[in-house]
Amino acid sequence: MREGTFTILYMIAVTGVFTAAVSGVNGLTMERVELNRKFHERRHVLGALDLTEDPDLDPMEVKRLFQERVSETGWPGREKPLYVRLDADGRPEGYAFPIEGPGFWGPIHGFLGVAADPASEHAGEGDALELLGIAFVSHSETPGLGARIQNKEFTEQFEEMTLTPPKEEGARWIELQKEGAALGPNEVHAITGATRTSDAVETFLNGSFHEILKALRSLRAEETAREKEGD
Amino acid sequence: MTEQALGPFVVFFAAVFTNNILLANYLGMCPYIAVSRQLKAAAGLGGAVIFVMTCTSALNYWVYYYLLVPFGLEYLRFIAFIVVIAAFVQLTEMIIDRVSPTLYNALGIFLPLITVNCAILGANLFMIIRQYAFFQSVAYGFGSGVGWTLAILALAGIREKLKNAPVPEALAGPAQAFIITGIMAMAFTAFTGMIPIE
Amino acid sequence: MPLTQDDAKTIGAVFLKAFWKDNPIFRQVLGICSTLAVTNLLSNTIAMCVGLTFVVVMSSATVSALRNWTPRRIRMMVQTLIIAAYVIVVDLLLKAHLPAISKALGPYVGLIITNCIIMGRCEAFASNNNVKASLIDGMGSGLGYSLVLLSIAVVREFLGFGTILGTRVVGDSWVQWTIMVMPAGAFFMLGLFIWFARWAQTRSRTEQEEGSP
Repeated sequence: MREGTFTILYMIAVTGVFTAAVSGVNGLTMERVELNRKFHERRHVLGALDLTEDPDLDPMEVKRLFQERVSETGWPGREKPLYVRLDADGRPEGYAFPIEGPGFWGPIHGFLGVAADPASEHAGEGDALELLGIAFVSHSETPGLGARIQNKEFTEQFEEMTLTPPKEEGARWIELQKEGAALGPNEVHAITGATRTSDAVETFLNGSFHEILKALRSLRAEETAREKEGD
Repeated sequence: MTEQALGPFVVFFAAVFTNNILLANYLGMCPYIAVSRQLKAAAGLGGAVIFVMTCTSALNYWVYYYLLVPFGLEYLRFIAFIVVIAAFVQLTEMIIDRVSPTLYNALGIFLPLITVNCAILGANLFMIIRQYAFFQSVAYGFGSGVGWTLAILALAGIREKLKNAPVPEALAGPAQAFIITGIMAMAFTAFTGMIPIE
Repeated sequence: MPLTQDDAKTIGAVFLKAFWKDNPIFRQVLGICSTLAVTNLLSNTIAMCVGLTFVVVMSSATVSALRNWTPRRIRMMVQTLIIAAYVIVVDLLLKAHLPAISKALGPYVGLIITNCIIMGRCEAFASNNNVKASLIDGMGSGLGYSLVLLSIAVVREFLGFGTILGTRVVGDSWVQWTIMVMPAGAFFMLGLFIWFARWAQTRSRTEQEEGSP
């Protein structure tokens, strides 16, 4: 056999063998990986909907809470699923909107939990977004720096925040300030040393509130219509 | 898919300054340290890196989106990209050897070094992670190459000047190079916020 | 087969060379990218060290086993292929069984492929030595790498966050040296470590030379 032919055959054989081995492992782990991913996402959805304070909730609890308190619906006008937090009577209490945007190393995906109807003091103001919480499901940020957006210290700032559309055109709904600075009603602390990640999060969050408010109004209208029919 | 479409120019500038693949993402260190003693060698390697990075960005973009994704084989991207990079470098080496033996002698040793430059694979992986479109990917590849070359030229320039400075033996060489790079990284951090990439 | 006296000496010699005398990081200056990227947190560093050691040992062994068959021309491509395959396996196993660690390491796992240490050992040692020796050399390199990374990580996490393995070890008034967890800090720490390690090596070598009759 000529040297050149052997080389090519060898390359093909080696590529084939190792690709097959890798595919084999992939096949074996695929189900587990998907289960892990689903569980991981659900745990974050529960956090965003403020159904749990525990970042390490165990799988059985996650499953139970999901069965009892969460359902799915569609984002009006978009091809995306929304998670719905249900109260004891099965009526929507809140929605978890998927949010995403570019981070520093890669895209950041998460959920923003919003109350279905604003609490008493803002009732009647169809314009308020009452946040239940926020959760970042995936990102590629630097561990210990940008990755801290997943930490409780950062995410709990968003719980029970109420946001209203800014008065000026193009102004921001929410602002991230330096750690240690005094905070206004629509401000949270950024992450020290992770300026780029913090800026990225601020930008894509602000870009999404308008859409979310629109969707919320639409969902409320649907719900009201459904209740009327039920009477 | 990321909603905001970043123009290729913005991606290019960010890759060179604010998201410099070497100073911010730590990729491509080994050849950077090894070849930065002389400005001329650094320039030669840098040029080759820019060429390979730009071309493989385009090639691997097609491989990923037209070969791997349609068949659900994304998990094989590491293997696929590396094979493409290695094959491309090998091909380039053979072509240069045939077309211009003088150029081959000047560049020759650099080409095998490039295959193991983690910056190349890294840049290709990042463009997938960040879901860049085709022209953004090519701009990113080109920009990363330029950014990497900028860093190695800067270091080579400094090291050449320091060649005759009295430095303790254990400090000379890589140790010194890293401390210089640290200062450069600090300087480049100042570019943050200059270009609103996100 | 029981190990003979000679075997033990060879194993020891090979290991020591890979671990200390030719330490991949401070002597050969390889595998730097990950050294800088993951050492800002000790927990991630440990995961990375385990992952890399596994890949370098397995890859060296495999490359060594195939060394008499692999044509010279495609040597590097074949090595890269083997390394990539093992890294994907590690990545998948982590995602399936240790998802928290997989998330923490994220993009760095894939970058083990281009870690010059693995390629360096495969090329310099495994392609010319038998499987047993290659296994030991891989082990030595992996542990030598781990030694450096863990040392740097302890300092960076401590100075940068005031924690070790996530637990706070300093009082509230401690001001964090945030620069330590950013790229610049990584470069400085590495530079200082190499300086110190090389100085220590030179000193012990001169002592040995002066000490011998």
